[in-house]
Amino acid sequence: MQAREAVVEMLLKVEGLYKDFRLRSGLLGRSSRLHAVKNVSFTIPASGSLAIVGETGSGKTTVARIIVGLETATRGVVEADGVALSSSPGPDERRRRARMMQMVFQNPVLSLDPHQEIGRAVHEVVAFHHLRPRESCDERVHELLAAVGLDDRLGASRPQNLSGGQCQRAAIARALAAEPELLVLDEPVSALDVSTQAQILNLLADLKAALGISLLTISHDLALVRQLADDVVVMCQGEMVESGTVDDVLTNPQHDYTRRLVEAVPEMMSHALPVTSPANHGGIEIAGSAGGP
Amino acid sequence: MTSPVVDPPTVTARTGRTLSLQDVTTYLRVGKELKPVLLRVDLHIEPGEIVGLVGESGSGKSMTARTIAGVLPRGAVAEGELLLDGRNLFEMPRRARREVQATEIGFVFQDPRAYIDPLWRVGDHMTEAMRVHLGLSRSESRARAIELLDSMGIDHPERRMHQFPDELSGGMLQRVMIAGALSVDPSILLADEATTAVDVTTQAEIVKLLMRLSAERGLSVLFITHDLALADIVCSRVCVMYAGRIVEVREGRQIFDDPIHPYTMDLLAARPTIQRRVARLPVIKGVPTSAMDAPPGCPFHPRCRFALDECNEGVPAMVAVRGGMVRCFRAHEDLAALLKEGSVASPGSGGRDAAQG
Repeated sequence: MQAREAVVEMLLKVEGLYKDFRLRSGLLGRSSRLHAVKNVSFTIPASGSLAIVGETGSGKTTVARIIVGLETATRGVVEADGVALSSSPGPDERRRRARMMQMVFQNPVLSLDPHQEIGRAVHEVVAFHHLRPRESCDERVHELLAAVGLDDRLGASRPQNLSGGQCQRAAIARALAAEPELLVLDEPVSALDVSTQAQILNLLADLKAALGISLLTISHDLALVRQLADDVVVMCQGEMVESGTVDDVLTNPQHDYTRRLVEAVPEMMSHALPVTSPANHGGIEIAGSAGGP
Repeated sequence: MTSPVVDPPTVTARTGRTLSLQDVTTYLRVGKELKPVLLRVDLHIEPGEIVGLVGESGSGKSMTARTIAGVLPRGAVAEGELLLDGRNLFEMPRRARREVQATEIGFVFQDPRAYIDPLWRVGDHMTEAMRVHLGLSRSESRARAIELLDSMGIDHPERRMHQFPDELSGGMLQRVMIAGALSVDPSILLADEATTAVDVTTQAEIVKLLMRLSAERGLSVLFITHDLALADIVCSRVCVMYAGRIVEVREGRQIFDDPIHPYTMDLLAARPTIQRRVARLPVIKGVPTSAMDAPPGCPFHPRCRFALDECNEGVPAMVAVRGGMVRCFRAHEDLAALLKEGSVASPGSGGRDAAQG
């Protein structure tokens, strides 16, 4: 890497991304536009890890869905490996894009087919992309399940018989089956128990190191972002309000909105709240009102 | 003083009540069998106190709230004593008990949209309980509802009364749910993961609201969450649950800095922190269990780094340690020091073998 110091290979480049949704209200269908994403740009280097943080309605998930092709952008460019991705991809490009990038969703139980054994779910992807000769597909499924820490026997289980953490491992195995260069993770652990979250976060870090894949994480959880990402983009109401390295942005937030997000994290909030105890109740004043948006 | 047309708003609450669970065990009916989900739970909430109940799935934290509110699934059985100002609700006739539970205990759930009728306007939702349980007229209940919404920090309360749930944001709707739960002026509020589904800035506003209500009105709050850090700053006392039992009770601001039970220690260590990245997150091997699936002995022992042979032989009793109560055979030892010495395995690496538990 040292030899090509100036050239950092960008795996993904997003430039000037806009997305409008048409909202229809009333019987006559007077429509208005919701600007869900406004002028979002960022890059992810090969083997890099970027997170988009923001609250409900910030547009962070819409950006992820545009990148993987589940949504089309109103304007803007998504480039992967230097090639611009079409906004209306044909079957070939869809297949190419599905090989290159895979998405893992928030709720692992809902994102897997309840009637399909998880081994089959992984097998399907391997076979679809013709990544192995037919006779060695099964072996590849075993490899993938092992890579995410699932016992071979669990391949014959259906999602409802697995724990949330095991389902999320299966969903990750299924995503890895396409041998993608980019994993897009939409709130990958927020539906899991605390003790399981750590297992999945470690697994993702391991996979990133072992396979050299890039991660794009969508989350509202700043602690998760600190653990998983190198760079971060902060979105608020469709716009990027701040971006930079995770260290800079979370330690020294520049934008007011980022600062509010950081201060609202419970471990940071403790400084701002009074100590409560039954002995002194009645005499507490709490700074700030509960005014809503 | 001239008497107002309508009673003054409920913001000037009645005196609080003391809620106490003593040796409460709750069973759910599974087929023909009764299986335990809560085991011998002792819990005490003083007027104006916010008590935290922290645990993972299956720990019994929601079942504790549902036992208190009397909204258990069909066929469930609760034993022990549920005392409200010393009166055991479990011994009251069903109708009388339900009336007490409906008027003394408010309940706020995790996902407001799953619990509010989408075809009811905010005003309908707000006034129903007041008219049923307090016998207020339409105009009286409306006036009180508007006052309550206003005191929850909801802007344009009159206009909100006519809105449907889908017109409000999640945080706004959760405030409506809290206002609705407080409409009959209960002395106790059960907040079951009430801030889990909302954004972090909204979460901060809602916990400040709960703290203000407990401070100003003497409202007692049972604050149920999976987030130890949140419970630690909101609550005067925090109870950690595992497999249907309370395993550690500590004063707020203690549990975070000085956890005693191995489960609490590992749960805290497993959380990523916003302040730094760690090379590997220490993980707890295996998955959380519920009371009905718990192994014999201490239910945590198969996952515990400090487990001894005796740990699978009996359930440890609650013992007083360092100003708290802990259910662990090794509670009197300085387990954190053992870790530093290296005489106990460091936390699992969270890798490949951790998933099968």
